[in-house]
Amino acid sequence: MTRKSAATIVLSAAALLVCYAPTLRGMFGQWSNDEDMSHGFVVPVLVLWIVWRERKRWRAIPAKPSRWGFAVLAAGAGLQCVAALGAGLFAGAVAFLVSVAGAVLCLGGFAFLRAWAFPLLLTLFMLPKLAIVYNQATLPLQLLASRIAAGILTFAGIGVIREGNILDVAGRRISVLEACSGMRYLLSLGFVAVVFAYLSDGKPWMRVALLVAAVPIAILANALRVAGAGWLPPLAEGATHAISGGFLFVLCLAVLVLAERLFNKVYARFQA
Amino acid sequence: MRKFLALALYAAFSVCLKAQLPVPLGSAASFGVLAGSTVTSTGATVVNGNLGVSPGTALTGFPPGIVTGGSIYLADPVAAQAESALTTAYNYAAGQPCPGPPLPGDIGGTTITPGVYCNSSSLGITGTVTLNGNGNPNAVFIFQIGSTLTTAAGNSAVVLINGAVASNVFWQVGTSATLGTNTTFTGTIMAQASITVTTGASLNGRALALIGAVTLADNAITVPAAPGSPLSLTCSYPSGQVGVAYSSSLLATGGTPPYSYLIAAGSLPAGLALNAATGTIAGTPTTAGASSDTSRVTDSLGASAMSTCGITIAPALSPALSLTCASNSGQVGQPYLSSLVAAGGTPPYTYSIAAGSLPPGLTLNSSTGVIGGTPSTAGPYSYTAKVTDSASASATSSCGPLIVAPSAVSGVPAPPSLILVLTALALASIYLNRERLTRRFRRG
Repeated sequence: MTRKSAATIVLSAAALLVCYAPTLRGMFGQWSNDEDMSHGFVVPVLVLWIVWRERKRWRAIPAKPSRWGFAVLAAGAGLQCVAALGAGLFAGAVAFLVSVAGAVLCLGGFAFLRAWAFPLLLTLFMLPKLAIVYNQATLPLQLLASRIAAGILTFAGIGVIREGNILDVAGRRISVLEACSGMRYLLSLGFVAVVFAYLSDGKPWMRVALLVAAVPIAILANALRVAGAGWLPPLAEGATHAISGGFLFVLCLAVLVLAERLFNKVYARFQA
Repeated sequence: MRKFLALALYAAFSVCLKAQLPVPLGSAASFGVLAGSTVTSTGATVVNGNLGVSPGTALTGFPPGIVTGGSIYLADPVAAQAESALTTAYNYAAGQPCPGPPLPGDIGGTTITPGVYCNSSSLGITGTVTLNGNGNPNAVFIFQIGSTLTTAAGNSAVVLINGAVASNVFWQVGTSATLGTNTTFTGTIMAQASITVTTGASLNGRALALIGAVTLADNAITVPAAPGSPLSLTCSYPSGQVGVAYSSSLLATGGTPPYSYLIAAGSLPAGLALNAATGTIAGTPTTAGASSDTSRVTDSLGASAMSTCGITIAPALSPALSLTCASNSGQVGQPYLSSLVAAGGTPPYTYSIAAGSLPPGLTLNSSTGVIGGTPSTAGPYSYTAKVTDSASASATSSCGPLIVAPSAVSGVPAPPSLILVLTALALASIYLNRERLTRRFRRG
């Protein structure tokens, strides 16, 4: 890489950071204030680490700047304008990622874009919540968690009465609110599943498979967490609550590991 | 000619035969109240005439009840003779033939002409029954009642018009008679068993019970004068109260009915008015205080009599003090705000907890009755609330149980996603590098 191209990359990155500073500030704000999204801090760090980890591969690729990059940059800029006019933080964040992809196209071409596809796609996990989708998904997830938790408690021989998202366990009422919908487990475990698949296995399909497997695992784990809080009140409060939540997430990771082995065995059998 | 005379004589004789004579009361005629067992009175009953008991001896309530224009006879020969005369009179009245159809069960609102009337069961009077003398001062009314005579509470009345006189009205009652509150009754009641005259009722006649008791309560009973006696006017007004319907009556005896009444001097309390034809004073007093008036009665021949009386009207009573409890539903950790509510009495009020206790975390504002705070402990809590007004009257109310429900766990959110992800990634990297780490550990 020549000094000129290095300077061009640095200037491009600086320009993007300046242009999208308000959007990035908003994203940082959400990661700081929304415990569902605090994993956003990890995403750029991990993305940069993956880019660095893959440096030998993409450095070997000759740069072939593409003019399509300007079109993508223009699309990103247009989306940013729409976001500034009132479309919101999500549109601005998407515009930022589109512009990053456009800059990669402009400076390195399609080959570079393909080489950086995984880290670029991983940045989707740091996008802010899209309110429309989030609100539509939360209530069904709350009800699902309540229903499964009530089923678990009943199966365990513990009397429970469910009224919508309210569980009455021996006179103790637990309200499965938005924060207990399982969305946090879902987003976090999805991100971890994709990263784990990348680190443990080179096959791109494994990332998709584990991401899909993470959905039922996260939902079931969240329901278990709610059922546990209903059964043992200390699990709903304080340090024990945090520890049990973390422990259950580790169990989810263990299940993901088992799923990865299972998928590999099935794949090997098909290959054979 | 002979035939015409015979027919005329038959007609005249027939008329004479049909003319109803008064019931011969004999020595019982001088008794306003006569009972076989006991006479009991409460309040300021006034009996204008004799009062007797025989063969019983019990008499209570005199005083404060008073007997004027007569004496009290308890189980003595005078009372015994009166009881004997009453038995004869009762049997006489019961034995009179009834020419017409039986009376309906309630004769309130009807006008009745002289004669003998029968009802084999019970007779009621709701409202006013008018006895029309048809201009004959000797008109006689006899009512034969198989079981009970009852007048409705309120302002039921027996009113005389067109020469009818109280001394010629007789009520023969097979069992018991009850005059409802504030009834204005006229005539002689002859009951086989007991007679009850409830509060405020007045009787221009007699209450004569053969074997049972006569029970009185703040009544005016006046033995009616015999026809041809001098005109006199009696007034004995009970006291009244502002806002409460009032009814009493001027009572004319003797002379030649019908009478007309007027207030000759002074005035009635505001809200009350005199009925010039019946002598009834009725209305709803509007002002408290004592008033005095001179009433005058004039009979059909122009003779007049006067009497001076006073009416005392008491102030309106405040409604009784009462207390309503606060809400009985709360939850630990949730703000609770409700209020004890007092009514009646004389504000301002002071509230307190007389027994039991409020749930921990709740307090009572003694001047407003507001119970507020945040309950800290679940459970049922029963307590007795008390309110005291400025006149030191108090009322209590048993409240509760106030159910304080356990706190609702408002969700069980997971730990922040940053912690979850960092933990998972750390463990994942340990897992993925387990062989290298194991080798280093073994070397170390």
